[in-house]
Amino acid sequence: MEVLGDIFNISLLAATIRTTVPILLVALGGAFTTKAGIFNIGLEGMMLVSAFFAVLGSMYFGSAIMGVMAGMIAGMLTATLFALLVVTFRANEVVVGLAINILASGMTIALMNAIFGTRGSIISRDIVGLPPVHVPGASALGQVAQVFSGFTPLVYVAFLLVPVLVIFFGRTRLGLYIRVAGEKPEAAEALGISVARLQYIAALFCGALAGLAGAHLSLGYITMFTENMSSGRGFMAVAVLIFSNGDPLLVLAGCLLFGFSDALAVRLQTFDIPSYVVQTVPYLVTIAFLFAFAYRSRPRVFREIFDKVRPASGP
Amino acid sequence: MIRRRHLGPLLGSLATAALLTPLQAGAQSADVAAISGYFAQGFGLAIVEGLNQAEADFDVGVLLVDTGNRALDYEEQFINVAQDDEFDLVFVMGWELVNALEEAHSAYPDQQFVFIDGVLESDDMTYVDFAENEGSFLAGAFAAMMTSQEGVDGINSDNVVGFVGGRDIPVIRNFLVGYEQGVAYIDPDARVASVFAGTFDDPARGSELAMSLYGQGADIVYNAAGPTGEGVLQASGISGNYSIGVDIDQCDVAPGNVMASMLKRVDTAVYDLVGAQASGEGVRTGAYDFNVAAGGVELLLCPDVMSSIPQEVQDRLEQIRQDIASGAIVVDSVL
Repeated sequence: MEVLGDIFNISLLAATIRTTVPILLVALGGAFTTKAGIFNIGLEGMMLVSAFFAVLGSMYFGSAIMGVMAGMIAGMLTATLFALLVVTFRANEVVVGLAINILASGMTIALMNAIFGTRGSIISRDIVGLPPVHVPGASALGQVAQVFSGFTPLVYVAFLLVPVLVIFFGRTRLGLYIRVAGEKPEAAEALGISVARLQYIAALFCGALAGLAGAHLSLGYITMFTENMSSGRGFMAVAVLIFSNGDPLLVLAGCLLFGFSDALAVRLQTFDIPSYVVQTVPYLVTIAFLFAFAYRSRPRVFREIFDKVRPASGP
Repeated sequence: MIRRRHLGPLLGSLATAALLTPLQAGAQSADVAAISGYFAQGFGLAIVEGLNQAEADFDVGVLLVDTGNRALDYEEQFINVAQDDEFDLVFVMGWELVNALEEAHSAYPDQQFVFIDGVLESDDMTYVDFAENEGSFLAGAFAAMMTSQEGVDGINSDNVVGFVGGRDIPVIRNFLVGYEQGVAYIDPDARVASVFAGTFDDPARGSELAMSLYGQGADIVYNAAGPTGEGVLQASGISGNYSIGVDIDQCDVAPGNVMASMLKRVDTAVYDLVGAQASGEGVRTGAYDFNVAAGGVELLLCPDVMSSIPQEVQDRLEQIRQDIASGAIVVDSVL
């Protein structure tokens, strides 16, 4: 039982929070596009571009806040490009999403080479990272303090955004319109609401949150940029979106599950379980949950994509 | 906005990048070329330094071919370099170039290629092979000596040290084997907690792995994980523990918390081989073993933490270095 105590302890919870947040931020961004009826697999790329520009902004202005702003703007510009191609020019959203991801990877490498004359990574004392937030009085709680104090600011922002999005989609007119645009675009058009405009708005929100995710990765979690540092987190978010249908509370649940399995995998490795086995844990969890949740409750956009690929059979 | 000046030196480095554009090789005693996508990055920079030094000292012509990251035309770049039989030696660095290298080697069997940092299948190529196990032995011995120190901030009473590998592949295992042996040489009861990130490109994951090792009582973590490892080094700065860098001087990633760096002296290696070619001695095929004895690997103690490293630790480390060089200590290898 001592072994279990070594794995399941308070620091596992803190680690879960750390590993959850980057996926949560970008998945909440993806909730906007999913609700608006756009299947956005370009999240990974939006996050990566933002991580790069967050570092650039932080160095240029000498301010972490400006870095976060630069990351958000970069995310929103990338999302605008995505929306331009998908909404205005009606290009296939999967193809455009893939293109965004490839563009992001190549562009950040090329820009790094052009601006910094280097490849691989940007590490510098000139990058101003986000400072950790120490909740007053937390230290009195000893060990427990590490699950809510000492994180960088965007960790708190990520969790606060969950209720904000619940209210936004459930209680505001714009949130309702975005949902209508995604679920019943014909109804929206009949009411005189421009679906295209709402999809642009949703894409901008998505870009802004993907920007926060990228900035968190390069200025909060750690303070550097490296090639392809988003490392599949945007794709994890897409998986979460498929089984959550963009519902913020389910997004939170899914991201916590991934974060937890990731944090758990890290700990299992130190107990002589082969690394290859341990490293599959988060992906096995992903696949299991996709099977369990996704099939019946697929959002309309995913149903349509699947039905195009595989014509409906039976009576 | 004084801070805006930060971009000044950055843009200035563009000029440095321009120096890397191909130079036309003349009729010197030897002409060498180097092909890599990494001339602008730590390990590749050291190659450029070694070549520049050789160019200055031996009257050789040097051509640098930067492949960038365009995977499509690697082979064409090899052919361009090899087809005119213009270069005595062609250095190649980067595992993504191996396929193109092997094709060029079979198409131009007379061209002497030198592959840096690894040994491939072919017997008639030259390899620069660093003894990462020996360097890692030094890192392990150092970590084991430091973890038992008392009165140093960030060093706890547990005799546990950590290791973060990139992918679980033989060459990274070779780092781990040397490291574990080095730790056991100092203290057979000390424990090495080792983990693998599964990727070389995810510093956030490296940071997380290091945090979990620190949480388990490790106070010094050695990394062999590329950019993932840079996250390990940063984590040591955040948590106030210690880390050991790899390949190049990484002391600056988290000043005061990176205790040492296990260096692969690729600049020395390249310089030596060009020197051998220029002097007429020539460069043979097969692997050149750049081990501790040859000065190919070494442990650099970071200046920022020198004051926390007791003299007897430094002396013992030097003794171990000499013992490895003389063969009195034989370091295991998994390769």
